[in-house]
Amino acid sequence: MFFKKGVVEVQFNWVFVLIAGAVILMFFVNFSMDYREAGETEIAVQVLQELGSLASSSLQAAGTAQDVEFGGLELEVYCDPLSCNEYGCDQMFDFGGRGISAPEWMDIEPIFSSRNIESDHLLLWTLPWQAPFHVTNFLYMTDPEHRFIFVCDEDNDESCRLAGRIYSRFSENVYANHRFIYSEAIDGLEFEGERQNNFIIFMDDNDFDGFENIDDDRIKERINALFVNPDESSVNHGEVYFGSVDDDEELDLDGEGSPYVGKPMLIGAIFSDFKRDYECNVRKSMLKFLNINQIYKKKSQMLYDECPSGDCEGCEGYYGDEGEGMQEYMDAMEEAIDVEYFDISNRAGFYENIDGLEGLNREADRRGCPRVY
Amino acid sequence: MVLKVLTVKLTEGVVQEFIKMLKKSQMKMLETIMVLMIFFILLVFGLVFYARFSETSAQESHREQLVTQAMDATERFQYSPEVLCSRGSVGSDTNCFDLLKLDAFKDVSEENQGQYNKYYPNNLIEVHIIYPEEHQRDFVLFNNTDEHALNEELSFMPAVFFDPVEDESYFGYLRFAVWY
Repeated sequence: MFFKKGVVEVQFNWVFVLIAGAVILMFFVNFSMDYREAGETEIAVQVLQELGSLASSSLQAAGTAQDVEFGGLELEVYCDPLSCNEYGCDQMFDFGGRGISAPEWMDIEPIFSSRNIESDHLLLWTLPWQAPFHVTNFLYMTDPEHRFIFVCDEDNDESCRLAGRIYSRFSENVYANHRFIYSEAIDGLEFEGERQNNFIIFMDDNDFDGFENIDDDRIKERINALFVNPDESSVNHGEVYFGSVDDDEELDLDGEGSPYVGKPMLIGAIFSDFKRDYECNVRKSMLKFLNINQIYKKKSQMLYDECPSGDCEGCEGYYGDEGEGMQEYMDAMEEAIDVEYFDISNRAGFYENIDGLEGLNREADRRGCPRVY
Repeated sequence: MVLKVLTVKLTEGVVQEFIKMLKKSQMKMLETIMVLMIFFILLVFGLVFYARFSETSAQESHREQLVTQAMDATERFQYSPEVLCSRGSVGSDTNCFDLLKLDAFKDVSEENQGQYNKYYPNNLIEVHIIYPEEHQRDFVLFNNTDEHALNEELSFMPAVFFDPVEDESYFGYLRFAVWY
């Protein structure tokens, strides 16, 4: 009997040790996993902070292209156009899939970027957007794994002239991976190890059947297409159509065209992999435009009010009183924007008034009057 | 009688043996509990210490993050087309601020406070015109500070302020404060 009790005691001890050991082990395993998770999130926050500062300083230097070495960069950049309101648009700028939001200023500044940047190099480029005054600098982001292929129809001079102009502007970015080819020569396109091919096609989508002629399946795997359709009155404004090639190698267009106003915005479309990202950044641009336009309208009014008693007597006519002079053009540009959705509703009207305002500002400057911008 | 005595002695012996054994197991149990208690006390001490250390380092990192954000915001302001002296399509003059645009910016940023708060988080931007004396003027250009914030990080920037009506330039500085 005593022996049996001893057996129970020894067994109880072992059970006790096992349970306590398991609890302690679970505690430490849990703790170390949380610690690891927190460490990874902290690294992601630090990396994003650095990238945010880098992007912020890049914005100040318009026209500068940078190739930043960043080991094992895994960045996901996207912007939701449906989230846009008077406070900006929700911008995601996530490193390593940690679900971290972008710095808040990115909700307002347009950042045209490839959706996924997975490389040891981050390519940054900035161009000023003027309408006609300096509104903002557009920031473009991609990596060398994205190849931008400009395509035009050899038999169509106009298409190739426009493609050439945009390509020449795009080539100012010496780090981006880009090519210029005629649509007839698309079958000769070689795979160079790129992860994604973005085709910028200066032709109607109905006239283009080039993707079927590409021989190399590795190129066909990930293709994005952008069809550029400029307005008849000017190549500086028009529409772009986003598309991709599906599993059956068929071109799949993403809905209706999206407007562009000015070459820097068209270049923004070239950098954007998806229509949603592009439209979101166009809305941010419009939001910025509306603010700056408001500032210049106020400045025009102040000049109109103060010039008669100041050093610029006689210049008031250029600035106009509430809706006249330069303010008339600024009002008209505002009207060309759908302020509810921050969309360009009348791009030709928007552009015409840019020219009108530019003319009047230049004229004021020529007459020795203070320029508004 | 003898049998009775024997039985009693045997019973006493069993009881004593049982008590002895009970004491021994109690001691063992007590010992185990004490070891576990000390272990958990040490563990709790360790965790409290770690939590305090983490909190301090998180606060420090938060402070650094705010300062970096503020510096970025200061830099953004220096190049902001909303306030810089403009030269048409040529661009803008660095460190030159248009007084009429500053006045307009004050109104527009108040009207769109939510948007500019994202742009200049926790920032207080002040304009100080110091020369010439007759044009001395100080004003708050933008204020996005939390009333509960206790600390501020400051930076200053020398600047030229251009008055387009009088076609004159004045000298002064911008004071940027980030509150946290």
